Amino acid sequence: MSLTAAATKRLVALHGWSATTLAILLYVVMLTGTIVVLDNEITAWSEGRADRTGAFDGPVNRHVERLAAQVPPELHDTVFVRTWTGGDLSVFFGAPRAHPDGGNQLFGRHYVLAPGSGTIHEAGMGFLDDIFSQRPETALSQFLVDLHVRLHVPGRLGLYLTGLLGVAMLVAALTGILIHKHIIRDLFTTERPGGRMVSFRDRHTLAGVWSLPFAILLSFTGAFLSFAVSLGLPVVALVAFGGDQERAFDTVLGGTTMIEDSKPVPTTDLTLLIADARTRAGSDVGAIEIHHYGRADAIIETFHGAAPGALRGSTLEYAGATGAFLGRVDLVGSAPSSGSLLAELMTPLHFGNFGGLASRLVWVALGAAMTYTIISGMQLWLRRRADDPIWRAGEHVLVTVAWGLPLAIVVCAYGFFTGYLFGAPFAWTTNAFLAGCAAVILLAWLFRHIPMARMNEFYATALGIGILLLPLYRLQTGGLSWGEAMVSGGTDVLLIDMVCLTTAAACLTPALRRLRRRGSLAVGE
Amino acid sequence: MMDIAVLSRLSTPVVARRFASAIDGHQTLWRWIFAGPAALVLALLAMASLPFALPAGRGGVNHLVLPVVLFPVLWTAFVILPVATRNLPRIAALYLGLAFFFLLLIVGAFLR
Repeated sequence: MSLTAAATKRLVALHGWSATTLAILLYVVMLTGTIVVLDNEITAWSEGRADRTGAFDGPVNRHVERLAAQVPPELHDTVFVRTWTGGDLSVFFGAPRAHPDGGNQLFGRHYVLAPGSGTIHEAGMGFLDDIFSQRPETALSQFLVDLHVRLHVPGRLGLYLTGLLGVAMLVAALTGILIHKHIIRDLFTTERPGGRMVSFRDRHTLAGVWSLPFAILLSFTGAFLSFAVSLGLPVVALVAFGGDQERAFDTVLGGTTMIEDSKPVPTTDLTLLIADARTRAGSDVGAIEIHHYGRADAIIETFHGAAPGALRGSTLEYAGATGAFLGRVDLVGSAPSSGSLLAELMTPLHFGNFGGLASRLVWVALGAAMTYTIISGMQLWLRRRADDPIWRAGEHVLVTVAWGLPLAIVVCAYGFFTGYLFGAPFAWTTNAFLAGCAAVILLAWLFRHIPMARMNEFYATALGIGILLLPLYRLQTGGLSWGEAMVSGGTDVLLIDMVCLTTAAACLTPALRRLRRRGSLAVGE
Repeated sequence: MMDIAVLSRLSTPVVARRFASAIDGHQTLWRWIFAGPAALVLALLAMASLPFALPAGRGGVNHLVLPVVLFPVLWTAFVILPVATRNLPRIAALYLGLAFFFLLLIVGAFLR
């Protein structure tokens, strides 16, 4: 596409403004997105225990039957069975009820039991979502996921905001393609020395061009994931289903609909069904949902992670009364189609979880490159406006935010481990993050007259030391040691600790180099 | 022999000429409007109307899923187009035409 000089100038302005107006929020979403690619590993690392037994390896059917006999029949509407903290089995019996936050949600009784003996470790009542979101070991990973998905803005507004950020990034990436006339040559740009304007441009070009396809992919899938349920489905429901969102959901999600039959019929043996589902899906069962437990029209769904070589996990459907296999459930629609394929591709492409740990580590690396692209782009933008006093203050803000966010996240991790020890991880995690942010803002104000280069080094050293000591603090607050982790197969603990040590080394390198230089100078004198 | 520009001027209706000169007179303002609110409204209209134009497919959901998937792409395209193009009246005509088409699809579906 050949563009006139005026059009290119306008596109450069759009490229800059689309990213700059939302730069800080974009940076928050990108950095937390890079971290939460490993959210399952972070949860396992936070938990400090390795699952020694599979929750679904015990006599699941016996446990569910025993508990079903203890709960009122009206709570047999939906039964949800899943793994819980420390490899325990969680069983929830419930029925829809109006939630104080609006809409209907499942409300009922929840039990946590030892998968082998069936000894009940916990029992309680409440809404399903509230119970599942209160698992203490998820406090840290959930905080980071919420920050990435909705910036902790409640309701649909948070999703609109991150969706808008996705579109802004897509605009920046596509205009980046249009304004770069020599993309292939730019792939091999080397930074010109001297910390001049061209040096900043070289850095930004190099990071931006290499992560360009990934930027388009992530911004598109991210915008889709944010808008799909918050805006897309309500709009489609409004025009195509007369505003009936429930009917729109049922049509889009598909699945088997059984003819209503409330006749009491014992539900099939779940232990046998689990074995069959494992063979068919090629991967372990993560959860089971039973609709109309103990009735003739019962339907059982088993949820599985991705089998080796598969792009995404699968859901299988069985008739509850007979145990007959009904088929695989597509994410959307009643049969495989281009629409269902597209919708199914969005999640693995956004999370990078299609090729196990290897693909996710690639996603982490590319996410880090994109995060750097945002920061280098902002540096370039501010350097070009260095003569303007308003924009000059912006450089100070940029340095504070760029280092302040990872510092606040590290403080938040320390808060989580302390809170986990005292039994209040959710409050400690949030409060520690806020305290971290406040401390960084205070530091930035106190040291506002110190040169940027010194501040950069100070922040990098503080971050490096903070991350370096985090695995030690985890261990001291009851976490799994490396020896225990290796014996019990807790590789996630080793992985996240290694990520911490590598990041710490990268942050501390400039300061160590300076110390070494100073040392050699002193010896020379 | 008459110049081509003069010929095309004569063949363009007066209303269209006035419309074009009004837009050309405030290029920056109109570019902001087309790339800003107009782009969002058009993308929303596309998402709301395309379920009535696309085929449902084998799974019965293509017409519902594809507009939602396309929404961010369309929005982005509608933002970039007025910025990259020199001829703003043409963009105005295109956006008006598309808005009319999308509205027609929605109204047609409700009347059916």
